[in-house]
Amino acid sequence: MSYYVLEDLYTSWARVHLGECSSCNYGQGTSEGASTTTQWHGPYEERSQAFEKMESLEKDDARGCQLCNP
Amino acid sequence: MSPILEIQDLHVSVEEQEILSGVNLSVNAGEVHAIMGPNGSGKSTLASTLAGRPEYQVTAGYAHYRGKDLLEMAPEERAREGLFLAFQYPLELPGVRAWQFLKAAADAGRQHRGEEEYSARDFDRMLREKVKLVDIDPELVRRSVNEGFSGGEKKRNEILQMAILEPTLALLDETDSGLDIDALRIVSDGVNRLRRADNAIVLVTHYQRLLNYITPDRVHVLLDGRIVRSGGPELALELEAQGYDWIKEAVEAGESL
Repeated sequence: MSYYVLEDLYTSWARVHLGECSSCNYGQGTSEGASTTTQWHGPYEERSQAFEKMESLEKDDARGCQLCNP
Repeated sequence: MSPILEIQDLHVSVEEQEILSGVNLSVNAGEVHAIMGPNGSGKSTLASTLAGRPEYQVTAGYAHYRGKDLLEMAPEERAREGLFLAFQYPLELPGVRAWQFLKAAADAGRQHRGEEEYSARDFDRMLREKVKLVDIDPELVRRSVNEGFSGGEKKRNEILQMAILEPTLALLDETDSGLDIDALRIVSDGVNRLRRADNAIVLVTHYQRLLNYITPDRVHVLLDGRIVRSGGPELALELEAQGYDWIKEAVEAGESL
């Protein structure tokens, strides 16, 4: 199982995802081409690693994705 | 606590032109959020997409409402589930009396929740209370919806609908536009009275003046289809003092705000 972190580059927002989450798509996201507003971090093998990464981003609104609930 | 509304990387196009380019936003119960931005930034597109207007095509991302996939729901289903959009330009419905329209909408919600429809007497009693709450001329609800209403009366009628439907998530699309200062205060008072711990309100506005009367928990700046800055109420004051140009310049310079 793999985990990813999605970071909003402009606001204080980040989410941890499971790689297989349809919104994550193993760090590719759902939009065509590279997003200019977000950045994917990962993959991480362990859930704790992904959450540690998210915490290191120091975002106010940081939690697991509501869709895949990692 | 799960947010009432969770939007992630939302991309929306109209007629093949991308308007929203990756919006991330969470709105929790009890919160009021203000979406601000210059004309053409995508504010109304965001509100209309969430309400389900069919001409807005979601090309990527998701929006969850109370844990459900909002984008999979038909517009009327979204409304029955407690999502409400106050229009920037409320439509006139000649021949449809306002009170009949309001009762039909309220009954649809009650049916959806497994409750009985209002009796005529109960609805009339509730309507009188709500009319007082939003300080609207009682005569207006006997007339056709919005027909011959002034701009301020139309906006007040939108807030009356909100008061009657008691939505879980209310999206107010430039409710302040076209209002004089007295109407703005009355509409704002109505919105403030409808704030509860178990609902949320998203205000879409170009100007800070509405936020003199409704204090938001969070303010977001939408620019070129993306939220480029979020903050507390002080951000709105900063925008009022400096306009949007300083944010545009910072974004163009690649600064993380």
